[in-house]
Amino acid sequence: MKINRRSVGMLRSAAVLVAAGALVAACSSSSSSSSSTTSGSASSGGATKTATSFAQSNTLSLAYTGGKAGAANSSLSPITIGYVNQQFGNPSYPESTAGAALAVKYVNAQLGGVQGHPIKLSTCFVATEEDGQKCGTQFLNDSSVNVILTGAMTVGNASLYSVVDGKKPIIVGNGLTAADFTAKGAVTYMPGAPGVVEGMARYITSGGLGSVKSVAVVATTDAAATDSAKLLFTPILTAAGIKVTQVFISPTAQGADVQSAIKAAGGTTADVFVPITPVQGCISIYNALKSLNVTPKVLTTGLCFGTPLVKALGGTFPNGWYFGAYGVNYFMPYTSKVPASEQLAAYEAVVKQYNPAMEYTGFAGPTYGNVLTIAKIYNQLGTSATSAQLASSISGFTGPQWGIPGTPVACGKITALFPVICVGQMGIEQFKDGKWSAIADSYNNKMINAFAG
Amino acid sequence: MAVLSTKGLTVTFGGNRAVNALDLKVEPGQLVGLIGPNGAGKTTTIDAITGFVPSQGRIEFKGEEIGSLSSTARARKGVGRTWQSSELFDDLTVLENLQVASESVSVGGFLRDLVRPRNDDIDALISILDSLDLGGTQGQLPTELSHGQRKLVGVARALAAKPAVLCMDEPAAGLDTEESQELGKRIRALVDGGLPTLLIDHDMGLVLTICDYLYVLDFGQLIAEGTPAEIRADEKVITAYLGQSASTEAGA
Amino acid sequence: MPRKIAVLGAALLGIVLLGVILISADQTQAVVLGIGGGALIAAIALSVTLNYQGSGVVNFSAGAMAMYGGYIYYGLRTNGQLFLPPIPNPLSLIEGLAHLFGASGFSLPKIPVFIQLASSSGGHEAYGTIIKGAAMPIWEALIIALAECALMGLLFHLLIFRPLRKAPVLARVVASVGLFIILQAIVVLRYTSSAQAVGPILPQHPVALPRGIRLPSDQILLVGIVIVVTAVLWAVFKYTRFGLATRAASENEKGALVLGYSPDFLAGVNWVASTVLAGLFGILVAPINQSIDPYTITLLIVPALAAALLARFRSFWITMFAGLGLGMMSAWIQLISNKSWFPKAQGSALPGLTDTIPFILIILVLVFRGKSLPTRGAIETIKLPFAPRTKRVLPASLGLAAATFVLLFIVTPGWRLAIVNSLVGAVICLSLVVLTGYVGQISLMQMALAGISGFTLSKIADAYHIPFPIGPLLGACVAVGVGLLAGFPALRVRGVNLAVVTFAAAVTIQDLIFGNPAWSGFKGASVAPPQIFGLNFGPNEPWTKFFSGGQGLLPNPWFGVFCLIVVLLLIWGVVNIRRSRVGRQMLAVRSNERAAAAAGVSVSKTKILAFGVAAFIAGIGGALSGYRFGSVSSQYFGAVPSMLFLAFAYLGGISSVSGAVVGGLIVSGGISSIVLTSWLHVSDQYTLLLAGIGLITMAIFNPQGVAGAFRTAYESFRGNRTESLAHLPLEMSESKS
Repeated sequence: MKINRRSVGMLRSAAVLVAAGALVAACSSSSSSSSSTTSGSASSGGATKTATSFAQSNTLSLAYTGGKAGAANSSLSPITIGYVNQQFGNPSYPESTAGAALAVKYVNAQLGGVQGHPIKLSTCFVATEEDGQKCGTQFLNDSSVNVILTGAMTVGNASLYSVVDGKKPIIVGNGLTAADFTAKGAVTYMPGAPGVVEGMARYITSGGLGSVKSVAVVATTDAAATDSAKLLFTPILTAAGIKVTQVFISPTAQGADVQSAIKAAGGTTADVFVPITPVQGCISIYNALKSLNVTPKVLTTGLCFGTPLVKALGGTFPNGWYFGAYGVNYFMPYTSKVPASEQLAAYEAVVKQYNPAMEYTGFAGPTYGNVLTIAKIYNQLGTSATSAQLASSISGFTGPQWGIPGTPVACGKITALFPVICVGQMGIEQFKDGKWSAIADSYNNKMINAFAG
Repeated sequence: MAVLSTKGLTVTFGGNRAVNALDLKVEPGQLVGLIGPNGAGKTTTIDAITGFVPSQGRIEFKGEEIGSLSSTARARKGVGRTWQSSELFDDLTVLENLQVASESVSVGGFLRDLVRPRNDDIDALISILDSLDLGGTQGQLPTELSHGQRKLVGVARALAAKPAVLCMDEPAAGLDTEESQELGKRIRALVDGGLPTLLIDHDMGLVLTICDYLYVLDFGQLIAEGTPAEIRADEKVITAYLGQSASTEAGA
Repeated sequence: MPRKIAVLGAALLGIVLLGVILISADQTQAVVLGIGGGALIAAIALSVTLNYQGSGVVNFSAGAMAMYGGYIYYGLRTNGQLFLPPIPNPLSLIEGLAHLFGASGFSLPKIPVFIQLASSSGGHEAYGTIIKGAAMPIWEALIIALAECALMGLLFHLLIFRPLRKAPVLARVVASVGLFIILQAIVVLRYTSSAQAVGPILPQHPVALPRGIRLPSDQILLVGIVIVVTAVLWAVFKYTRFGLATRAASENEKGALVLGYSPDFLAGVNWVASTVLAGLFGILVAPINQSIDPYTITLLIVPALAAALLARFRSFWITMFAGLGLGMMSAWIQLISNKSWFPKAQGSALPGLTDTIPFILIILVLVFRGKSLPTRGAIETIKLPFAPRTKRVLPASLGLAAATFVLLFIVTPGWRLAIVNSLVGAVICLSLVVLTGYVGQISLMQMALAGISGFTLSKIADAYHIPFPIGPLLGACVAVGVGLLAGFPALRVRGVNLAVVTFAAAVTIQDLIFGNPAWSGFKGASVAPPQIFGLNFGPNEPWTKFFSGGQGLLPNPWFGVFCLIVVLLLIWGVVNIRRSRVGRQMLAVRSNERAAAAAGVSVSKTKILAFGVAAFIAGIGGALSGYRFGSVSSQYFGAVPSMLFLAFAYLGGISSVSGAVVGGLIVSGGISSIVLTSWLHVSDQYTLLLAGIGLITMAIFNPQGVAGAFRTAYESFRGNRTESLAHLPLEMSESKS
């Protein structure tokens, strides 16, 4: 039953299609509060990773940011990044802040800061729409802040963008709602949910899942999800002559409602079944399919990698499901042939070095990568870079983004509908018989061009 | 022609007939009493006449059938009433209580009031208060008044609406004998001043003294009607109602 | 006889539906499966009913209690930890002092966050994760969790609701809203807002029913437990002295005393029972979904209230069947949403309809069942604070306005924003002053109405380039239309029941209108800044300083001035309403509907007018809010924010204009927020928790609202005669005759 947790649940529904972070950085093990071991379920996840040493990670990271090895000089004036994140509210994404803080600590300790100057976060947390405006005003008025980075926000983001209004550049860490992908003067170095969803449609039409005549979609009822399904996913399939049936459920629908929705969409009989829901929805859908005693071909987003699902399944993933994401994941074996995979491994080494207990999955990784990118851009421009210079470098950044394999990075040129999105490639992986395998991603060099119609 | 009359007035509560086929009349210039023991259906009769309980049968006001009108519409036509427990608007001053009854509202008036509120002539209301010995209380809140004064404000509020007939529900309840007699005089004066009235009260002494005509109810059934003298003598009334109390109260 | 028609109609509809459903095995399966979710709704609804019977409180936090119970159990089962709410540590003061004197290594014991109840040494693997601390066995965890629920119920009674037992109904509603916020905030602090995986507690194997229907065994058990609980409650209330006394107390406190129980004792026991009941089902139901999070169960309070309302907060059996029915209906509507005749928006089933149809049905039943005028002896009484006739309003408001004007230009940007937020908040509170304060109609939908206006401004006014003053007025007028429609039930539904109906209306507006992609699409809903004669006074427009020249910091104070002018105009109007004949009629209706009707006042027109005026004011507030953020969003204008705003307005002082101004001060992001964060240095982490605690504390100590308390103090200082009255709650409807 679901009725209207939307009231608050809608906030979270965000997660919906979206959730850039989770898309890349599916959580393997870490638990909520107390403990976490990085090995956790990785073994049961089926992949064995080759560890990257801290020293190797320094080399890789220095190569990325263009900094000098060693610590920053703490007596020099700091470079301030305005950092906004949704925290202490419902929902909240504290792991993003942990990722940002880790990156700052690491850059200042090992990568020489920005030309010797330490970088520093000026943080502003949001829990309400009013807070977003407050943070925007605060950073606009603060002359030491020339670039703004967001963690993940489902509330307060619209008013933040409206206040900043392109006057200072914004890097959207993890886009969650419509506003994140349409904001003026903002960029995100990821394909975002729109890219992932559209890429999934293209993968189906390209015949990747065999001959498909009918597709069943169950998506959550928030505007972002509904619109994505309607504007991005369905048209591509319909144009290819595939019959699509969409049914919408509340973001927190469970049990009988989900079974009904799957049946109403024809999920039990269609060639491919596509759930587009946050992780709780994935659990419900997994359970509903089990109760219905059917095993359709399931293609879903990386949101379904989430920890609760893994826990609910006793440490594994739904067998045979295909997952659309950014084209790398923590479960695949590390390989030096894929830079993004190497970077993820380097990030994990940094986590192990400084803060092994932190929630390193979810939005933490992408935010970490964004701080490195800001350091890189500052290193190029120098410490006295103005907002305008930063804005032009940020929108002109050609990548590749740390930890994101998609190329090219070309802000404003990927899709007219979502000018914020700077990367148009996504990837698909499958979990089958206890093993992850590359279907069309960076590991087999078959990344999908999501927006290339 | 009667100002107010009912024909076959019947009120049912869940299969129980609280009032059964009651015919009564209030002629111009008359003070009509409605009496009966507790639960006889007196208040229910007034509720039915003023539109607060659904009823069957005819209710006529100046020859016009009003049984299908809302209670508000009946009040506006001129059927006024008071309540057993006063039921004043406790958030409003005494004067405001009267104003609520005397004023009418229009959309234009509302919009004008939004910009600049305007009060109708309140002299008429003050004189109603004065006539009931309530002069000087107009700025007070009902909760600051004595019980007797509250009762009178209830009457004053009913009068402020300029009714053509008034139904009074136990105006003397809770008053002592002296207050009650004083009230009786005022009611008589109102009727003599041209306001026909239907009066319910427990105080038999009061009712029998001041009324012109009486109806007696028991279990919703009309058991007798007539002048006070006729009622005093009626066997059925004596057994049903006066029986035990006639000796004490009627003599008072 | 509308009532008979309603009953007949409902029965007929039921038979038709049943027929349709039983034609298809799929539909039967959907309906049968919905019973599991329905069981939880039923349990929460039973908890609400029990609370209402025992202590006259409509407990909006019953869902939150179920969720909290689920989390206690989760913590114990996962690693034997019992989580504790944040408790202020007096030792930290000493520590702070020590640090001040340079003793940086000095640290005193902290109050723990978790208590380890099971062995902490043994790690184990649960659900694929290594977890420190041993899991507690099911029965142990269940008993400890329920014991804590019982303790919580007792504490809620002793600390919150007993002090409020003589307070106005609204004060108690506000306290339960505060509790809702607190419970959610604690869980988020301890377990974050993401879902946690929960293992099974009841056996989960599929059971084959006739016609090929399969139902997991735990759902069957759950329904069984709900039925047993209902039967026990029914029997206790029907046959025991305790139950009789509770029922007697719910009508009249003396009744209970006659039976030898103190009403206080009864309320306490019922609080414990209802908390345990909610907690138990939170624990039992979470595993069905295999996950628990801070929202899902919490917000089941909405359908649960609807179910309790259908049973008039009385019959346990009706409550239970309504709860089960809501669960089943929702699953069924979901299934048929792919039918061709199902209402569509942009080509696919109208989202939100699955959630709202049950409510609309319940509202219809209530409306048809209700009475246009309260009957003799109606027990529904809503006490509201005294609504004074405002005197000397002009000098006071002009003085305040002048001060605000000056402040807008001289304070720091953070404070300026806080002033703007308070001004916008005051507008919404003003709308509640008219509707709830003057006419006594409790509305939990004012933010939703504000949203209607905001979205109209964004989607219609901006799209058709309707210029500034007309755009927001148009938005407000559309809000009036919706407000009138949603206010229609008020003609037949009263008091707390009306509160629930308006809450359902807010949910419906949020789901059907704001959730409709046509309104809040991917393009977002932006609002262009207001300008007149080319003069832009939006909050983000650069502005020039008065004396020193040069650019000032954002936000633009002229936007604050614009808000100030709007607030002043609205205050002017609302004060005049109180002074005018319509105001008198409104208060007459609030005070006594029957006497008002007898005085020739049209009760229905007065109520409808109040709904219209309040919707207009809220609509203006929504437009201001749209200008403030440069956009409108559905969650900002949802049902939960509407609930919060009633709390703010009530605590400010719902019966007077000054109360609305005070209410504005305490809205989120308002002056009180900035005082809390910049002066008292309270961490953002605790703001939600403090907001909840603040609501409850204020409700207990100022049940008449802050403005009323100030007035009382002021008047007793002046020896004014109304002193004794200001804190005397007055009854809305007539006392029993």
